[in-house]
Amino acid sequence: MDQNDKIIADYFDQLPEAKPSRELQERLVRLGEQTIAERAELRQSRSGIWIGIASTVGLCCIAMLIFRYFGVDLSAMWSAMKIESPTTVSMMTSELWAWFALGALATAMLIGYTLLTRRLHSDSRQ
Amino acid sequence: MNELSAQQIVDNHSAQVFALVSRIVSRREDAEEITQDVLLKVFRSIDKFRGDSSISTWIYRIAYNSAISHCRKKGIKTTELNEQTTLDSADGEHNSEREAQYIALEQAIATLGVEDALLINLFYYKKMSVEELAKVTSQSQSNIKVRLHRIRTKLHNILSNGPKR
Repeated sequence: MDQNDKIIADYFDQLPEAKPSRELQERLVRLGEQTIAERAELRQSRSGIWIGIASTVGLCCIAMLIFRYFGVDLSAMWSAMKIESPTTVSMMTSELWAWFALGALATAMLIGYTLLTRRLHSDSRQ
Repeated sequence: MNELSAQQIVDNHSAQVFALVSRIVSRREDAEEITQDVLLKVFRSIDKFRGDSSISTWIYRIAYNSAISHCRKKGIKTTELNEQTTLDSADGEHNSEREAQYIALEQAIATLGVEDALLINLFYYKKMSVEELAKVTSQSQSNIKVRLHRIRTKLHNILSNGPKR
């Protein structure tokens, strides 16, 4: 370090250090607690929406699998409700059934994961 | 990083942020406004902090960007900070030659832009390494070295030639 560099370093070292007021710090803590709480609520409500969507899709998939297990004729059901049968219903292939099974499994895993992480979050907060 | 409470963040980091921005803006109200802005951004995104760098470096990065944007928005120049610091250095028990050098430095720093003033403060005052500065400013290390070299050359020249009165 040359002489000029030392003078520059000394100059910065001797400058007085400004300190925040107690009032500012208290205000920041209040704002912080409020903001962190709001963020946590937002996260919870978002995960609630995802659980809702996943549950609905999952229940539909499970219902389809139950129909499949009991051999319910879906085309006949649609006809009984006097609604035109969608082409997919009359074309139920084993591949499509497999997709429903996969959907049910994925939903169960998603719900399980969300509930588990939510539990871990609440445990760590306590 | 959710385990960090607002109280911990304020206790550990608000003073550092305030001290840094106070070196850039002269009005205490501006420094408080920037500090509050920085801490609010920290509270809002603390759960997104991935820990790639230290939390201190991450907060300085937010402070660096917030200070620049605040100064640009309000048209604040670093020149404004020098009234206070010149008086402080003049009040100290320095010999007249050292005082003259400090006044010269005040004048030189006053001519720097906000970004350069922040950079030189982080380097000398906060003793940050080039690597840390690169993270804080989101620039390459070579770019930081060039900028620091340019600023130091300017300050060295002023010290060698004496203050302009």
